[in-house]
Amino acid sequence: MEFDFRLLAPLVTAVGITVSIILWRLNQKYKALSYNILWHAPVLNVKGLARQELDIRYAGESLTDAYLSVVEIYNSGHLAISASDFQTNLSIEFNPGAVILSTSIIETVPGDLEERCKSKSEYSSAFINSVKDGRAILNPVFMNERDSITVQMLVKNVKAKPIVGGHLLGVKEITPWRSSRLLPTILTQVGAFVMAFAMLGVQPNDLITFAFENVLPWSLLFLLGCVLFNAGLFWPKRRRTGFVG
Amino acid sequence: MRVSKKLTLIAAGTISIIIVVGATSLLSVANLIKANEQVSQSKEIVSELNLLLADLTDTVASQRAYIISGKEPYFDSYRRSIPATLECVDTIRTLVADSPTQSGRAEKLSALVKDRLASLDVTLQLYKTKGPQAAFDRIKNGNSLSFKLMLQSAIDEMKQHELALLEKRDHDMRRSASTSQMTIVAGCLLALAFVTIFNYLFGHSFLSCIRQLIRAADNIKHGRFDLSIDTNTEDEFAELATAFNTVGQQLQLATGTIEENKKNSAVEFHTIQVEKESAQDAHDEILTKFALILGQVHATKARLSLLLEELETGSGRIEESTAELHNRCRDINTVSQSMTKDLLELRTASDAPDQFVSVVDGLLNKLDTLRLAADIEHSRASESNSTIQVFTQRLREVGLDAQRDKQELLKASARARLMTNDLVECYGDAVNVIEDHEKISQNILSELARLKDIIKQLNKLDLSSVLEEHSALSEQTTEHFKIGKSVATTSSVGAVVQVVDDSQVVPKDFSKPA
Repeated sequence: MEFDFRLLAPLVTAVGITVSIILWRLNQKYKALSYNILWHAPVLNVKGLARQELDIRYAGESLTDAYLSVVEIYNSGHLAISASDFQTNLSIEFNPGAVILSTSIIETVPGDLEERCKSKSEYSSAFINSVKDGRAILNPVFMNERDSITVQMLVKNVKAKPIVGGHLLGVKEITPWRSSRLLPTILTQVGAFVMAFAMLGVQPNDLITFAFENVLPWSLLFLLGCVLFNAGLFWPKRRRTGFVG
Repeated sequence: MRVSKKLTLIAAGTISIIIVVGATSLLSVANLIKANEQVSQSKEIVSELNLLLADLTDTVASQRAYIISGKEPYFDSYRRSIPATLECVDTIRTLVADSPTQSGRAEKLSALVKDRLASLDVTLQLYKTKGPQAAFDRIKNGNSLSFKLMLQSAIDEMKQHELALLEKRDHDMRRSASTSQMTIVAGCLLALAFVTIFNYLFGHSFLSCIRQLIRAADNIKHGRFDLSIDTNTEDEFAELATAFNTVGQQLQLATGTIEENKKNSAVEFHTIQVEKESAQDAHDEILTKFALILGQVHATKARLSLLLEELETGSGRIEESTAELHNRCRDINTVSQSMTKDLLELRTASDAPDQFVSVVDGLLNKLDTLRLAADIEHSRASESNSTIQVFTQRLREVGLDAQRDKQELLKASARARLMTNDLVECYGDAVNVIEDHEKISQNILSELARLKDIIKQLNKLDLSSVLEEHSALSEQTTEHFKIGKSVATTSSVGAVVQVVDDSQVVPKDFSKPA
């Protein structure tokens, strides 16, 4: 199969345009704040008779139906977010009727992020402004790219997952983090296609006549498809932190 | 899977792929070379066949030209072309030796060529022996055409066979080349994909673990020891994370212990401060009481001194008074004795009128004398008479007073004795009181000395050592923080574990006295 060199110019042009668009897209600087619910599960996850007998209390409050929620808020954009960008304080809201029993900052990136918070607080951390009516309000803080705050809350009467709200200059919406599975999907599809192509490429006569030298390249191609397919299947899910519930 | 196994797997996979690709490429290249050689051989055979045909044609042409022209150069050319033709035939036979079909054809061709050359030789001999006409006749009536056709047919047959073979070999060669190319490309792609994907995955895994450890170390550095790391792997990083978690827990425990010790030491310090303040208060109170007691003692001493002085003065005065009283009593006694005597004398005189008369006489005499004197002193007598009467009266009164004074003096003497006895008793009591006071003072002084010793001991009680221990504990806390920091910066958790193991915090027992 001869390669027609006349196709080289449009091919190179198309590749160049694609790379330029990708680089332009990657080079775009924007502000973004996202949150990631690392953990949202009942504190007491026991069923049966033991559930009736077991009772855990926190400051006198029964934690039978309490939830432990761990929310990470991080600067997912390419620009730093200054404290003056916060038009309103950040809030972590649960459903109406929920009661936040405890709120604490369990992790920050960098570790000394709390030192940037100028506000004074009566709570355990300077980040926490107030906690009331199923709503924890956080003080504004300067956040560089990839800086994060991880808040742990013990909540009663929870009906839904928490939502992070607030208004920031240059940030349209505080979006929840979602893991992108585009690359694994592409890898899986390409791997399957390559495997099928390799299987179809083998000449039956070569198998009958044991012409391994002719079968081998297709075997290698099949292996390549296998590698891509399995890489797509077992591509690791992105984890933003080492929190263990 | 452990990191070493992962790395071994990547290396083994990469090496396997490289070996397979290399071996396949080597085989393909060998096949390609073989196919190329065969193609070259076929091409050479075809070329030799063409050359043979040309040589034969040239040989026949030279022979005919010589016969026609009779010129020697044509003959020489003919002579030269014969070995070349035979050599060409031998070459063809050699080249087709591996193919039995072609070998048979080559033998046949060789025989035909030799027959043809022999025929040409015969014609040439005929030319030389019988002349050109005979040669022309032979050429004209000979079988040169059939020779030509047979040779052409044999060469064409071989050529066709070789060309077919060449086409097949060329096809095989191209296929082999294509297979080799595909093998190399697929092998390279496989190796590239394998190495890239596995390196990315393992690198991502390693980096993720290292980033988690760095984040955890950074947070531990800032006092969040309860951060737990789960690398979600079963390799050395998981062990490192476990060790890190253990370090964090131990640091938390150590910090808790230090905090507890700090609180305890603060409480102890506060208690000591309170005790010190209470001791100081007690000391001040004791000092105040002591000062009061001392003042009272001094006042008592002063009062006692005054009392003693007063007693001494009083006793002196009493002694003087007593002596005076004695003297007065003596005088009174004397006076009373004299008056008693006078009274006795008077009584005697009254009892004895004679005596009284004589006395009266005597008195009269005396009175006469006195009268004489009174005459002399009449003027004064009249004046002194009243004086005498007054004096007498006075003497009587004095006598009565003396009696009363005597009685009073006796009473006063008795009272004075009683008072003296009381004073002596008081003096003894005062001495006892003073001795008691001295004893109390000595006790107070000894208590004071003991209190001073206690205060000195309290002052000697080295609170600075407690503060130093407290600061040492604080330094240990700072050291632990520094250990966390060093963990973050060096990531040598093993060293940190060793450091933490080495820096076991032993809580100080502040309940023991310094």
